Amino acid sequence: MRRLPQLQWLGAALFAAALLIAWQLLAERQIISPVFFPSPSRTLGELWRQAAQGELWKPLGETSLRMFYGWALASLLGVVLGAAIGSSRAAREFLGPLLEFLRPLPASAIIPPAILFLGLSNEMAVAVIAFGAVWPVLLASVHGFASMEPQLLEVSAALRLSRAQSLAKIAIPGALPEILAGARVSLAISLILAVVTEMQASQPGLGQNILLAQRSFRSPELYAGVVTLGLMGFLINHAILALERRLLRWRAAPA
Amino acid sequence: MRRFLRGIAIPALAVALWETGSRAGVLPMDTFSRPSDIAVAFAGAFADGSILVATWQTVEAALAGFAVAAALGILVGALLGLSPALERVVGPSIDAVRPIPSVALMPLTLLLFGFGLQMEAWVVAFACVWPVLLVTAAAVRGIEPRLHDVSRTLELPFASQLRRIILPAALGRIVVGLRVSVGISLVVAVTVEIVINPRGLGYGMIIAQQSLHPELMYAQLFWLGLLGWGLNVALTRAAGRWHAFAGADAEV
Amino acid sequence: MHRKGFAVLVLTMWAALAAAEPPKANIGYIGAADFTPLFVAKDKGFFDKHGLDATLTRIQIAPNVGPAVMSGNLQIGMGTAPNLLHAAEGGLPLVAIAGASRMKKANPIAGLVGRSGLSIKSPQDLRGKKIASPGLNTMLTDLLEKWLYDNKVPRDQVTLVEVVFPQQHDMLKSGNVDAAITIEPFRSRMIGDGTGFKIADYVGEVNPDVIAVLWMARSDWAAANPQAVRAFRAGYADAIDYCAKHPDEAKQILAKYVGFSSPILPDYGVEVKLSDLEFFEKMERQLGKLRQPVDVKKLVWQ
Repeated sequence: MRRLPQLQWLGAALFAAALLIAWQLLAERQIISPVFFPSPSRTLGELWRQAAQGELWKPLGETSLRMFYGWALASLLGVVLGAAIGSSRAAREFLGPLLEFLRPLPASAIIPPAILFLGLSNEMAVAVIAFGAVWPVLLASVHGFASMEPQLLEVSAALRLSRAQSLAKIAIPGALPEILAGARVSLAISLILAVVTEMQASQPGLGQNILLAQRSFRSPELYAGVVTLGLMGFLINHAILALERRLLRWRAAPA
Repeated sequence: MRRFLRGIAIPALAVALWETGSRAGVLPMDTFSRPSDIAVAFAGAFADGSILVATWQTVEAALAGFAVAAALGILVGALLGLSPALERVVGPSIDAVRPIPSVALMPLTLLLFGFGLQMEAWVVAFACVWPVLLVTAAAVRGIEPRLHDVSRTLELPFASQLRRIILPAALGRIVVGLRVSVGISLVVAVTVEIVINPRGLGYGMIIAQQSLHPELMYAQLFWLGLLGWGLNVALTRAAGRWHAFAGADAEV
Repeated sequence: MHRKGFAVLVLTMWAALAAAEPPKANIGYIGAADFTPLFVAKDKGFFDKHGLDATLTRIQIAPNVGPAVMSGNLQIGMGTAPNLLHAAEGGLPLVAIAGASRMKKANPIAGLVGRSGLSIKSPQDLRGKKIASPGLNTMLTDLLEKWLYDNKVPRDQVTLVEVVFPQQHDMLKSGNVDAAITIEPFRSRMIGDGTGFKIADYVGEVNPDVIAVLWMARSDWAAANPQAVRAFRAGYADAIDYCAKHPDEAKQILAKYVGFSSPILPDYGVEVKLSDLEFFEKMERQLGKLRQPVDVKKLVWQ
């Protein structure tokens, strides 16, 4: 017996509303000064003001674009490197330790050399985002390619497919579910890194607005920016899920 | 031996290029410094013990935050993976809270906990819980349905089902999520220290940069890379051992 | 009776000890030459002499100091007049308890430096240029915006990007920025090796004598600990005298705390004048950075 989808949407909305109420109550108790912790009403009021007066859209667009380019670059790099490392022992030996060493380096430390190589530009920001966001896709790709079902490899050998054909027709579709899960995590990281690079490398966008609001003690603006980021993340995630469902339809088909 | 040589081939080349580049004046010294200077600074930081203290502070916060995130993430992720209805109710709220950058939470945690370990651990926990949660939910959801039937037939209590059947079956993918999370824990801990918390490697790095000692900053950065790599190796080995152990169990 | 006498003795001793224990303060500073008297006061024992148990904590960047003071991590923290004004506008109970340094026309510590090879002779030449700022919406940058305003250069024709002081030299040299708002010792280094040239000591043109950095504290802490505040001011004032008499030693102590020294030291001053705050209040409102007027009398500790 399947519950009506409308009922589940209602459930989701009620849960979200409960969280908002909890926030409002916490803010009213004033455990933290309202200067640093505004209530949902002040935050949403500020957000509405920004949307109505047209101040919201430009920084939103700038941050989104930066995030998408960074994520796209990260996904591409992740799949390509992952395929190479997952299927070739030589690649694993040459690149493995280097990548493991680069992974924990924070974007904040990468930004100064990146600025010198690529200038104080959007390209630099995209490169830094890609650097930080590549890892989930890369790890998932490596795992996906390396742990391919042996039967699929046999099929590929039996059909005498070339390396490229095998990759395209068997390896990638086989690893796709894992890669897509990794890509979703990667997207979340891309958004965060877009915000961090804006804060540290002076790129205009939501991140910079949040930083300036924080410095001027304007917390409704700060949290309005945070809420915007939350909403952005939510919408994008659902878009990806829809994409995932379409791409993996063949997988989930009942036996 | 061959593996070791291959592993350091590319880094060694990069370092050589860096050294010659800065000696030739091609790379600006204020920002880049020079590998030979960095090596000296690295030795110096060990000699006076400053880097060890800072390392402990950073690792302490990263691991504390990661532990909380792993526990919460696996538990909640498993629940969401087992109950599609629950996921549909809670999922959208999670998706809305997840993208909040930890940088935005720092002033809040500073006011709640002040400078120190707790504030940093909580920011790390917030950042690290999501990959674990998502990957666990996906992994549990993707478990062979027959395993669910078996576990239900055996009428084990939920905690046992989780521990002996569900988690081991999903373990391979959960471990990938944990590895991502551990990486994030270190990065976020250092970022909190760079931005606001006056302790640890991140604090050391930013102060070195401000004091016009970029070579000390790079020495600490290099050390950070080594640490992350070491943590990852340790985690993979530990997971491998548990997997083998649990795998033998699950085959029953 | 023995017991009563004993109790009185213990209580008296305890009270005496409590009174004798000097008040404590955790003082937050950033890596700049403006705080040399702070370091000298700590090293030479001037704080101890006046009865203040001072701990110094180096903070990564100035905007962190306000929240740290609010949360009680720091009792006294460095700040600028715009910081204080924005805090007041936001409803934060911070007051200025002392001055740290001043900017005087005769001894310009901060200024605008341009990349060698560019022709920038007047403020108008800055149109279309990219200028490195140590922090958007912070004091030195706001003063530059005021200077541009006074010289009728439209703000939207000049691009400001954030670059911290230590990286400005490389950014200027590589052409990523055309000019930089900078202070000593970074300014001397840029001009000294030919990377840049002086465009203007704009601060002096906007105001010949104004407070640069000041010391802030929560108003409730300051009201509850007047002794600590007086001890801090006295210790800092003694240190200022010492720096004037022993500049070389002062520079050495500075290097010990922040990692570098400066050939030129700023002017120091422990007084915070109302006229200083009034000037900044008017300026911030004119630039649109303060949305409401702020009563500056409440911001100075009496």
